[in-house]
Amino acid sequence: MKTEFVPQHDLPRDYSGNCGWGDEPDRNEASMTSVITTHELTKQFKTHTAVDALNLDVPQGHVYGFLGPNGSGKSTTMKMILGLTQPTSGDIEVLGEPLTRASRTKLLPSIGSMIEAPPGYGHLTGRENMRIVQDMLDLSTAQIDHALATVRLTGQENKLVRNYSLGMKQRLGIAMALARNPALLILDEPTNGLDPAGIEEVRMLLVDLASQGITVMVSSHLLDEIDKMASVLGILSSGKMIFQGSRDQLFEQSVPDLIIETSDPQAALAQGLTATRVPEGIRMSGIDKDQTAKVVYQLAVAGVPIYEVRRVAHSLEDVFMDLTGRGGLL
Amino acid sequence: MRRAIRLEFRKMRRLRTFLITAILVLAVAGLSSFSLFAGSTQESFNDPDALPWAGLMVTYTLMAAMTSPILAAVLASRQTDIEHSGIGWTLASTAGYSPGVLCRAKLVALSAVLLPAVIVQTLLVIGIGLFAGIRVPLDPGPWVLYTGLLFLIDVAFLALHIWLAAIVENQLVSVGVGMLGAFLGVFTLLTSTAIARLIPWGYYAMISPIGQQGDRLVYLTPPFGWIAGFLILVGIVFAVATRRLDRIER
Repeated sequence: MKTEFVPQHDLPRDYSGNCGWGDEPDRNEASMTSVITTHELTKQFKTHTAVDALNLDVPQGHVYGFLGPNGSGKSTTMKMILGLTQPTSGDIEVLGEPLTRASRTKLLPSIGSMIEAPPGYGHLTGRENMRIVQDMLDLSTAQIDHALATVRLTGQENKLVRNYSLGMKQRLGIAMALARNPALLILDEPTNGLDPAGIEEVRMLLVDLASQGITVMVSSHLLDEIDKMASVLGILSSGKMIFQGSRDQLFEQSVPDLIIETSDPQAALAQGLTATRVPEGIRMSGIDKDQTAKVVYQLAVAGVPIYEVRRVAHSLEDVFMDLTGRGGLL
Repeated sequence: MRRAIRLEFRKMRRLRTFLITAILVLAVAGLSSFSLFAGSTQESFNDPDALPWAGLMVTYTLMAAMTSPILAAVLASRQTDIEHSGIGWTLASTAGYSPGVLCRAKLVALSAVLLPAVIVQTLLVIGIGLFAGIRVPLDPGPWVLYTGLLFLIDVAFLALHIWLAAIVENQLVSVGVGMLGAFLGVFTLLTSTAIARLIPWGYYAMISPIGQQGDRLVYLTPPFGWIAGFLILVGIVFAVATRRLDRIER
């Protein structure tokens, strides 16, 4: 069978955001129910479109990593999901219910959130802040104690919040979101400003919460953080969803370059391949496994000596940069 | 709403709301009574025609007009600023309490602090008057009326400052407006009623039940129609403005 060689980067990419979840991760079928779905969600401000026809699909019981450069529309999307900002157009469904003014009141007790910065009245202690949340939502003291213990603030709860470190404030914010025993947790950049230990702590906490069945939607502009905790990724760029799916599916979106080690790169290039010369031989971009086999066969038939064929090590960050057009993700 | 009001009292902790109120109440009472200890004033304490209580009320209305706008601005600003600094607007919204509800709850809670404060303030002024030696019987009517109206005008300015503090994060603006109001409050005491009724802070002068006829002080009936109109207007504006706050996307 003859295979026509077409470099992968010349193929149209499907960034429609409709990727399935594939085999990621080990969840049963019931857990694939969507907790948040949006349909053509759009938010337009006077001068620009912050969110553009977004089709979001957050599966139940997963940590959904919502990635994008600063200003890509993550916070606006989260605010719309929480009903804090009205969409210009499009629909939102949360926990199986269309989000409306009426349904929002019913849904809010099931949604914990922390948007943009951790809340907390500086002149009050952590415990007093939690008591405000307790009163707001009619929660039990046991729920408050449990939330404080979960974020490991027990023992620190009687300090004034203004004297908290940034990490403690973040944890208090998460405790406030957790106190209501939410089915869905929406956290906007919860690791912002934290040191590596703090980031690791929040990461472990979120993974642990997801293992308890809580769906966590967490945004970040830091790829590294999300990569280590999210089982599903959504990548936003300039308000548009450019990828949605598992980590493996994300890798499939971008094929690493192929290095063909040869002592005679000139002869290899003479075969009409779209490749560049590198010290060890030639480098080809965007060719998949079948195309690799075809190239190797073609070179072997032409008598070009091949010592090694390998893929360039490709980090998630490289994939990410490819997708976002190096739009400022770290 | 009741729950939101209770929350506001929780938030008042360590804001020194009660301390600030107490200091200003004492200051007003003290400054209002200062002239009582002057020898020339004390000569009139036993003369019913000299209306010593009316004289005391004149200084009280002056001090109240000077300090009440500042007190309203400071209390409202402190109670509202915490929502900006503590991301309280968002926290409350995600629990189903809109910014408008928060502002209305703040108004009720601060008014509840202010009501006993204004009553105590008046009682202190009267108490100091008695202590200083005024022997002419007190006619409580004008004092009760003035105290009640002073409280209502204070509530109106609390509403204004809560709204202002909610929409402008820089609290210097709200407190600055309060200071300007204090100046205008005193200024309108010295101008005609026609001008006072056109300036919001002029209503601190409009509620005064004391006026001057020639060289003599006389008890007057405040223009209830204008005062009621002002209070109703503020109420409507506050209701509309706080509803509009719910539409602000932060």
